[in-house]
Amino acid sequence: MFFTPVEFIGELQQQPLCGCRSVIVLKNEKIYQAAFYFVDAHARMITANFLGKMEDEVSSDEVMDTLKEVANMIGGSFIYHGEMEDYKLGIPAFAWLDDQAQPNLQDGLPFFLDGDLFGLAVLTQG
Amino acid sequence: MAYNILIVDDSASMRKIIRKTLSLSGFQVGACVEAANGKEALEILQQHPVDLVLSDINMPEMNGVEFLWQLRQDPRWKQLPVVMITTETSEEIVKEAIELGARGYLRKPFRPEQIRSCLTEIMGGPDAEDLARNDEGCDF
Repeated sequence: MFFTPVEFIGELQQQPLCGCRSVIVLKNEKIYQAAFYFVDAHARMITANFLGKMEDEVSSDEVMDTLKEVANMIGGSFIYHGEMEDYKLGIPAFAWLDDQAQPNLQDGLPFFLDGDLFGLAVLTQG
Repeated sequence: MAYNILIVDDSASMRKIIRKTLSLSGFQVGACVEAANGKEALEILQQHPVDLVLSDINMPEMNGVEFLWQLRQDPRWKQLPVVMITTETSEEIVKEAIELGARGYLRKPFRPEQIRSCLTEIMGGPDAEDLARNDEGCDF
């Protein structure tokens, strides 16, 4: 399994993320939805490193499955570290994004790898 | 002695990771069977007796806690060691899992040495006593 620290400072690009979104719900009296948007190439990189494969060997199903697991792990970490002991995780969901479904980068917390936009985290209360 | 293990996780990637981590850990693994949720795991157990179960909690169809409950209703599997492998560590879930007889708990992501220590501690083995003295094993 591969881990890399992401940074929260970088150049915010205006072009769409053009990748995918994995979502996990955290439920208690309140419901929060944590959505993670990833640039396609980075989603493949995460999957490849997670599974110990080369990037051109990973299938779309593997990207979907891995990114759902990533959302699950981040959601679990929120609960563990974020004083949300009473919250329970929902089942993670995943979607490929088209141009119409692009998130607004201002609505969430963009994260970067080596200065390049890597993804976006959006927490909403629903 | 090599142990036959059932891995229960809805994520095929995570099942692959657990298999790989087990093989890197040095823990003696015999046959490894997989299930995508608790319901499937109960069906698989009918045909493939195992020595140990590693189960996720957050799964569709039948989650890990429901699976553990079902398992304990059957005299054949009342004593079957089950280790929960999950991202969720809320006290409520941990308490529920302990009450249902889970033998240990590993939080994802985990390292090969953690899984080895945890499983050796539960299943016994030449270095089980040493492992029990350090912090690398399962929680509980």
